[in-house]
Amino acid sequence: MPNTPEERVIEKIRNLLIADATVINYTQQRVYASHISSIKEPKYPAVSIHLLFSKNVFSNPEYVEMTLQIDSWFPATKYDLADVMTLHRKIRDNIHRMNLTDTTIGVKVAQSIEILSGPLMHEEDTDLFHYPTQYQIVAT
Amino acid sequence: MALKSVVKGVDLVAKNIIRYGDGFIRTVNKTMKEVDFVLDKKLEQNISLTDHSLGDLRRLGHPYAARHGSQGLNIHSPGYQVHKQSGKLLSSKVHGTKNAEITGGKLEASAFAGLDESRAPHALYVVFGTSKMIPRPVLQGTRDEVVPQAIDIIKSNLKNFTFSFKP
Repeated sequence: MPNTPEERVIEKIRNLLIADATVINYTQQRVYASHISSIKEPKYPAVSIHLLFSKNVFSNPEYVEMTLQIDSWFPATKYDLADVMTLHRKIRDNIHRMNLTDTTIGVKVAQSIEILSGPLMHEEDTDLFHYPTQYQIVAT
Repeated sequence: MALKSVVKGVDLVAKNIIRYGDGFIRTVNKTMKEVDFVLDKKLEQNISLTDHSLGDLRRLGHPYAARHGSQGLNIHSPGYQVHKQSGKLLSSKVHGTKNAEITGGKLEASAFAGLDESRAPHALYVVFGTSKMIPRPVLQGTRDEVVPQAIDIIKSNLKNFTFSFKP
């Protein structure tokens, strides 16, 4: 059971994504709640969620402003930019403030903004497309 | 519900702003150069760690690699700092200011610092990570570190600035 606001938000995001038909179509629910580099023998395409920064805000110790990096990973031999952008749009649609709030797991979100998307990168050694996006989320 | 008020002497107000506002804009630009200096220095510090060589990092088991978990090994704080090896990343550092301009009734000026990936293509992989290495958001982290000092610089430069208008 996740304890901190950050863990609860990441779990909520993961739950939203693994229930989305487009995300399932590409990743077969391979949405990891940690950076892909910590996954043993990952399979692709995949999405990974990584906490970059976190701090208290609003002079209220219960409210946390977190910056999450959500990466999409695609084998470049089988997928192209259109696939990357399709998945990205679906991820962005899901991470809306109204979708993230979930009182059943104790998540209340005051703000959810996409602050960065891209650039599209290519790893030569693994032949992977990597598309990073960052979201700033204020939650309790 | 709205209140209306009538401004008299609009022409004189506009003339005074043009005549005396130049001094304010000069002060804003000078202030942003001071912020630029602080931002640039902090970024240089954050991408110039020399406490571990490549050999040391190998002996530590490559601290930013998969097996150490999603936050890497905690060998320095803040974790987004980058070690200097060849010096290519450091030499790709760019910085500067954008002079104040008034657009749509809003005054904007800025100071920036960054890494030029045309000079160091690996900068993107350092900042955003790879499938084998965690991201190290050194630019955002540096900016956040400098914000309190930047606000102090801006406040102290502008708080005593007053206009003396001729009637």
